[in-house]
This record gives sequence, C-alpha cells and structure tokens, in this order.
Amino acid sequence: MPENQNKPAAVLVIDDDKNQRSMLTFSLRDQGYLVTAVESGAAALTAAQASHFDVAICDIMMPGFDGMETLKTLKTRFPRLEVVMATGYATPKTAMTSMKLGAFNYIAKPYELKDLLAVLKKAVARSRHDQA
Amino acid sequence: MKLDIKLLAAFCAVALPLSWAVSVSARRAVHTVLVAEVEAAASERVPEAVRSLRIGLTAKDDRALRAYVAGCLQGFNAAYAAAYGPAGEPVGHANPTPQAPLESGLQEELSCAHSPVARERGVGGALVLEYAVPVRSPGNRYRGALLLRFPLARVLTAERLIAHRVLAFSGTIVAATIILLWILTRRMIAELRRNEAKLAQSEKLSLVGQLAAGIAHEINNPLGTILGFSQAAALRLKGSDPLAEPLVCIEEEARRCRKLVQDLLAFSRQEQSRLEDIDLNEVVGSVLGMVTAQARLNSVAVSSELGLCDWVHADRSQVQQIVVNLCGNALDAMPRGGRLTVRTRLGRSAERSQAVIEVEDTGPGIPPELQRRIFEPFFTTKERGRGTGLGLALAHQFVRRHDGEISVSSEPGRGAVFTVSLPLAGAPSA
Repeated sequence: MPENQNKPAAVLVIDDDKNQRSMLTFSLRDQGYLVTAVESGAAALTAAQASHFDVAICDIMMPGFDGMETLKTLKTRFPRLEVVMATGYATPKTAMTSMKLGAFNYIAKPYELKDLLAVLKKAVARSRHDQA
Repeated sequence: MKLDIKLLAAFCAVALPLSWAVSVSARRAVHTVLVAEVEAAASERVPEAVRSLRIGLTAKDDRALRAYVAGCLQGFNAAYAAAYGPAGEPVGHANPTPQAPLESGLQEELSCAHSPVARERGVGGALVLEYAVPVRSPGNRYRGALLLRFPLARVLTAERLIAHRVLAFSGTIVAATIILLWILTRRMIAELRRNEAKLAQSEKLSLVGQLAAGIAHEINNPLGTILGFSQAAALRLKGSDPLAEPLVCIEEEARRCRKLVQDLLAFSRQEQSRLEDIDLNEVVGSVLGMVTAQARLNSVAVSSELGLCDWVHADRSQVQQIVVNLCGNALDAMPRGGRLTVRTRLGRSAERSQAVIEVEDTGPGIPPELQRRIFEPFFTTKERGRGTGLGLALAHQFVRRHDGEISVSSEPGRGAVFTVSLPLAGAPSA
C-alpha cells in the first residue's frame, strides 16, 4: 500500500511499449495507486503539466525523446516529482547517468513486482516528505 | 629444456648421416679425378711396354682405377725390368729410384702391401697420392712393390680439399637448419591450430555476447510485462483459486528466461574487470553462507577447508560468481544428497605460485567424453529448464579473464572436482 497521507499516490508511467504500460496500470491500480500511462517523453511533459504526480516510472530506451532527456526535463520542471528509471538493458553506465540526472532509483526489467512496489513506496514517501 | 634435447636428438639423427653422405660423395668425386691423374702421370713416365713381368693387383678399389694402374704398371715394370733386371723393394721404405738396381733389395719373404694402398699426403702444402703396388714375376720368383707418387697439386689442392670439407660441413649446417626450420614450422603450425581453436571458441562467445546485448532489451521488455502481469494477477487471487497454478507457472518461466538473458549478458559485457587484492578465503566464505542454505534443501552437507591462502589479484564479484556457479553445479549433481567440499590452498604451476580453489562433489561424476565439452556455452546435461548451459561457461570465461585456469577431474561414480587457479597478488601478470 502506498504511503497514504491524504489521497492515493499518483504515478505517471512513461513507456513506448503498450503491454508494459498496460501491465503497470493493472498492477499499480490494484495496489491503490492512481495511474496514468503515456507512450513518450513529450506526452509525459504534457501530462505532468496537466496534473500532479508523486512518482514517474520512466523507460530509458524510447524512440525520439528518450528516457534520459525526459528525466532531465521532468526534474528541471518538476523538482519534487520522483522518477524511477526502468530499462531492459541495464548497464552500470545508464544507472550512473540516471542517478546523476536526479532519478530517485533505477530498476532493471524484468523486475519483480514486489521490488518495484518497494521502490515506489519509498519514492512516494520522499516526494511527499519534500512537499511537506 | 625438453625441446632442446629433442632438437639435439633430431639434429644428430639426421645431420650426422647426412654429413657422412656429403663427405663420401665428395671423396668419390676426388677419386674419379684421381683416376684421370694417374693416367696422365703414369703415361708420361711409362716407356715402351715389355711383356716379361706381370703384376698382380688385388685392389678392392675402384675398378677403373685398378685397370689403369695395372696397365700403367705393367708397362712400367716391364721397362724397368728390361733396364735393371727383375727385382723389388719393400713398400713404403723408399721410392723406386731408377738409378738404384733393385736386385740388391730382393726379398722373397716380403710380407707387406698385398694390395695397393692409396693415401693422401700433404707435401709442402700440395697433396701427393701414394700408391704402393705389389709386383711379382710369374712363378713368384721375384716379388716386390712399387711405391708410386703422383703429385696432385693440379687436381686436388689443399684449398680444394678444404673446399670439399667446407662443403661437407656447410651441407651439415644446411641440413641442420632445414631440420630446425622444419621442426619449428611444425611447432608453429601446431601452436597456430591451438590458437585457432581458442579463437574460434572466443569468437563463438563474443558472437553470443553481441547477440545477447542486441536482443536483451527486446526480450527484457516483454519479459517484464509477463512477469509483472503474472505477479499482479496472482495477487488478486483469493484462497485456492484454480488460476493460481497457471499464473505461478507463467511467473517461473519468465524468471527462467530472465536468468538466461542475464547469463548471456554476462558474456557480452566488455567492461574491464575491476582487479583488486582480495582475501580469497573471505570471498569464498561469503559465498559459502549462501550455498549452505541452498544445500540444506538438497540434504547436501557442506564442508570447507580454507587453507593458508595469500591475497589474490582479482575481481571480487567475478570470483564470487565462479564459486557460486561451481557450487550450484555441484548441488545440481547431488539431488539426493551428498557432500560438497570447498577448499582453498596455495599451489604452484610451472611458472608461478597461485591460489587454488577446489569444489568437490559426491555426485555421479562426469564421463570423460563430456569433460571436454562442459565449459562450452549452452552445453548442459541437466534436464530441460534446470540449466541454461552457461554457468560453467561463465566461470570459464571469468577464470580466463584473470589469466587463471579451470579444470575438472572426475571418474564416473566417484564425483567430480573442479579446480580453479588464480594468480596471487603481486605475481607478474601475463
């Protein structure tokens, strides 16, 4: 269960893979999160401007506006939004870059659902703590 | 050292007979030349033939030479006898001098030189051929010998003789060189073949790596979806839902695929190993905790004999991986229990001191025909779904990256021992 201070935590899922978005939406809604899923970095910016999110889960390898650029832009515009980077091809370099650009954490696909949930819980807590 | 002895033996076996053959053929060439010289020298001296003396020649020498000398001497002796009367002188005692009458030296009991003796003799830098030829009159009434000296300066000078010897010698050198080159070439070819085999193996691995890196992303994404959905769906189930089994099954299969991709990726990673001085016993000990928990499930007893072991210059996580893979393999070999023994000790190879890790199991052992193949990627004897065939291949690759060695010794029915040797800290790295 997400850290529920007042309302359910809002999660923005950014992934160009339709099934991945579908899976995260399904799994996280079951866990009580409010989930919005978008297919690109550009769509993520639009969504983040339109409404508040506690956490974003962002794919790294995406066509066009890739995960790193999305992360950089999101952290610049919405510093309190915690971003968890996820990638199918995890390397120490991408992990390092992600953390340097301000990601909250980094998780390699395919991950265990419970691991993702644990990371999300901490990210939400951090995001809300920062806001408080 | 072994090589040197072998080379020397090969050198002797081929070079010496060859040198003999070369010098014999040189002698033959000289011989033929000499025949001509005998002819020339003799014909100058021999006066008109008188047929009162016959010469018995028993030379086993070259027939042509014998005939020539015989012919020449017949005429010579006949003329000699006509002038001075039949007589003879002992061989080698003096040159026949036309001024001295030979009857003074008449010797019935003459016993030496029953056959012509040819020898070379250096006289004042020039070579002289001496022939001692026994002579006798019919009915053995008179016997004697002639010592004939033929100057060979024109035919065979000392320089020429040296040239012949040099030729023979250089022939030996050339032969030896050819043999040496032949041996070295064979060794090089053998070495090249070995390297080719190694290269083919590493190319295979690198191809696997490139493929893995290329498809990892494409596989991991759908795998993530499958794993996530199956786990999220399973969380919705309450009590003993009949969907639980298929969902758990999907989840397990996805995990298996993930393991395969991870192992494949371990090959593809070209990043440098992070070498540091590590305490081998500490690293092995850290793995044993993990292994023991797993071993308990298989009712396998784990014992460790961590001996005196120096610091090792290695990548900690890779050494852990090596030990984990070897132990995991050993546990898989003993599904109905047994004993897993992990040892560390100091060892010595031909060139250096090294740290040795041994992982021994009491499983069924590995048949000799499979021992060569177990380090190949994707080679597995485990039932479908249990192994990816990459565990030992990965251990092998890690050990090789450390300039170490890995080997297995096993007899069917008597378990198996995997031995890993790693360079000690401070040892010169190749």
